[in-house]
Amino acid sequence: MSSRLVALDEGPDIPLDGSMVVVGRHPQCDARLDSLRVSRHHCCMTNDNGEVVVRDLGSTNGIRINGQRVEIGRLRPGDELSIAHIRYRLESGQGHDATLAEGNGVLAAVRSSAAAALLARPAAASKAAAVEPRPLSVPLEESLEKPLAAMMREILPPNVADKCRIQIIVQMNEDDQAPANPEGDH
Amino acid sequence: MSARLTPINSNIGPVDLHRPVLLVGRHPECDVRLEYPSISRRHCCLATAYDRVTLRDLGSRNGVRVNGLRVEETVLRQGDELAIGAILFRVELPQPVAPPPSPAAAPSPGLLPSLDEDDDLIPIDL
Repeated sequence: MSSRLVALDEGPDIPLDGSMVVVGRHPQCDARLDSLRVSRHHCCMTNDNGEVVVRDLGSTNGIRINGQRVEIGRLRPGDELSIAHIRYRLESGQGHDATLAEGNGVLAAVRSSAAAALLARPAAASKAAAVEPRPLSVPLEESLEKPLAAMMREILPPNVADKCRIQIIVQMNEDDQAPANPEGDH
Repeated sequence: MSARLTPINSNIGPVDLHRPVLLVGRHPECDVRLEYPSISRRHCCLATAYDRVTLRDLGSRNGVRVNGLRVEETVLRQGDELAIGAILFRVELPQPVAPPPSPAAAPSPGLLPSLDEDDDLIPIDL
């Protein structure tokens, strides 16, 4: 299964399709990072049953998994890997859900700004809401998104917005749920 | 059973490739430590994935040779003679015994539960 390290800062993604990927500043590295903070042979990694095992190669500035400095470690999809100061997120070949409420990674920064942006744009929201109702017989095209989802797409970082499908879900708190079924066991 | 490197010209023990990634060299931090002058501090790296063992030279001074030929990166085969610096090994790979497992292996669970399984989530048509 192919997976990739998606660059969260600058620079290109690192595809992990071969059996071993060596990352560093040396010209012979599979993934070359041209920064003085990156060692010549910084770390190497391999796929292991859908996860990625990464090993520091005695680099000066080390590697971190989810902020924790490690010599050797295991990445699961969604985990963050820092190679010196350059951050990546592991994405498996398959798509996966991400939610603002979970506050994971890239989307975490979006959460508060999204709420602020939505509140600051009542005019746009009401204009969007004024869209004529669509007859049931007309199939909804994939590209045609709900107004709120379209607004959310504008707020997301471009590299995220390009790759995702947005679905707005409102989750009820426990207090707001309907009372328990009176016909339940006694 | 994991792949193994059996030494030919030294009295060190066999090297079991029991981890997906192994760093070989003279430095104390290495997973496989070979304290010989012909070995660089971080000499090479061995990765085991999908029943293949890949070896990669890490810019070592004396290099890595497989069956006498200097290599930068190579996939090791059963019976190969591997020289890390001046230290010789015979490559022993586990022989396939059973047919490969059924491809219908359970997919790894996603980060979040599927929406269909969670009754608390109510999609609202906006």
